[in-house]
Amino acid sequence: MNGKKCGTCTKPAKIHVTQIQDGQVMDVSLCPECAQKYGFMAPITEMSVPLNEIISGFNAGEEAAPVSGLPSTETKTCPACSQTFRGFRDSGRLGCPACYDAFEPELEPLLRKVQMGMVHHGKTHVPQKDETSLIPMIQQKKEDLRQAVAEENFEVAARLRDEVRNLEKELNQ
Amino acid sequence: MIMDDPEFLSCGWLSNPGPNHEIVLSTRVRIARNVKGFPFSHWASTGELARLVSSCSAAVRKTSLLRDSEEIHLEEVNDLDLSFLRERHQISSEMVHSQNQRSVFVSNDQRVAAMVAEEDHLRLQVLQPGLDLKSAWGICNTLDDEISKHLSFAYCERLGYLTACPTNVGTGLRCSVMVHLPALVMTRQIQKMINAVSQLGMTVRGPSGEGSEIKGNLFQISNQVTLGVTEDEIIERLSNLTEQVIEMEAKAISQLMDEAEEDIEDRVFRAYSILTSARKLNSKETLELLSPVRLGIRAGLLKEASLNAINEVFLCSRPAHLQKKAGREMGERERDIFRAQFIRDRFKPSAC
Repeated sequence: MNGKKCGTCTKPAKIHVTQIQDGQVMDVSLCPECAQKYGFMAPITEMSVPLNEIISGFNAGEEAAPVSGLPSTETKTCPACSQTFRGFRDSGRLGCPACYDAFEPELEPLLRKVQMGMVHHGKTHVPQKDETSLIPMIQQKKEDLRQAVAEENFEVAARLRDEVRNLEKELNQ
Repeated sequence: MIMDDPEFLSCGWLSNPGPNHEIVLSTRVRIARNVKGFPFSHWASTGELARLVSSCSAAVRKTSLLRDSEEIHLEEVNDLDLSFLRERHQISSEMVHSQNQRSVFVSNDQRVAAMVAEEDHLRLQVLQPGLDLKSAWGICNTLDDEISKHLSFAYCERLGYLTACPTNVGTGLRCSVMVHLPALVMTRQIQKMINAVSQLGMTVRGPSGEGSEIKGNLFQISNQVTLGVTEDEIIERLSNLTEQVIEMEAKAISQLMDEAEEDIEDRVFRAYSILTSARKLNSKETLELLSPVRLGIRAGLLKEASLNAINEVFLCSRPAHLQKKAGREMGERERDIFRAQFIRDRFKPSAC
């Protein structure tokens, strides 16, 4: 910032707008509070960097020293889909919805930077229990289960078996 | 096929005047949704993607808005049709490059679209002429409610709708308005407007979205923030902001007309003369000429053409649209000749 003060109070100005009043071009500098008061909305977040740059530059070079027994941020893997945090950082995309839990501590600073809050305030989704919504999911889990058994990946297989049971129970309720 | 239907090729929806259509060409609202229990599209196996597409498509077909629409399977359409859908914002650039198992439903009036197996499993989109975020969101919300009756989405109370990219998480809602701001550009206020907008959780881009060049003084303003705010707040904030931008642009026009009417008039009529008499026009030049002509109509200088005609030409003079209109693929030179002919026809006194 250039050290300018807000035009209506003495706080540092963060928003600079050129307005034309009575044919005169006027530069108006406002602090976030006054900007909100005069209709330029708030809360204000610094959003001048493109999002993909924020994601790819985010945590870069910040290779946490691996604490004994804990995976480093780079190699941390989602147990549900095997996407790594590094993979997310490179592509900007998570592998599955469970990645939000798996990478929760790593995603928090990113969400703080690009979003306005950390909690959803919007529309609520009520999960449906009709056949079209549950059957494809059960089929998918069964397929994954068969594959996990074939690969002798019994830990994953046990988790999938429980998930299938729960979904079938949900369907029959 | 629907994409060869003349009705589909026309841009009727855009040429109807919407609210504030003098400055705002169109409004776009889209939401991102993912089906519970599946990896995101780019991480899904071929089998998972096939099951996803079939359950998403089945749910879309049950909605009142898209029940009668045709499902366009992207792997079955040629490059020209892909570019055509891209120019209409009915598919993303990602879908142009990766068509396998991806599809899009477009309503007969072209305002509503559901894209399947995009970056997110489902992207529901509504377009409206002018500044009309509330009604576009209303339609999108209804479509979402109808689809939610048949699909369970990846959703959690804390973070809302879970999306492939955390920049969409929460509401999954992205709203944008396409604005024409020649006076702010000419009075050199545009950079300040962009800076102010970007500090308000909104972003300004070129007319074709992320990373696109700013052409013809067209800008897209959209919300950046999707988490921690309600859908209504996003809509209201973008509407208020756009109204402020409209006011700034309108004031800048009055300023220009007060201080340099002859220069503006000269620029408007020169552009109009070239546009209506040239025999060859490339895409970039067309946008650069349309901009002062549009300004001339808004300022009441040019009575010969209508804003509706201009809005239509903005979209329909793009390369894929022209080739679809001609019914054949054309090289650049042939396209430039065809574009000039199309524009001359569109601006004939009887056609406006």
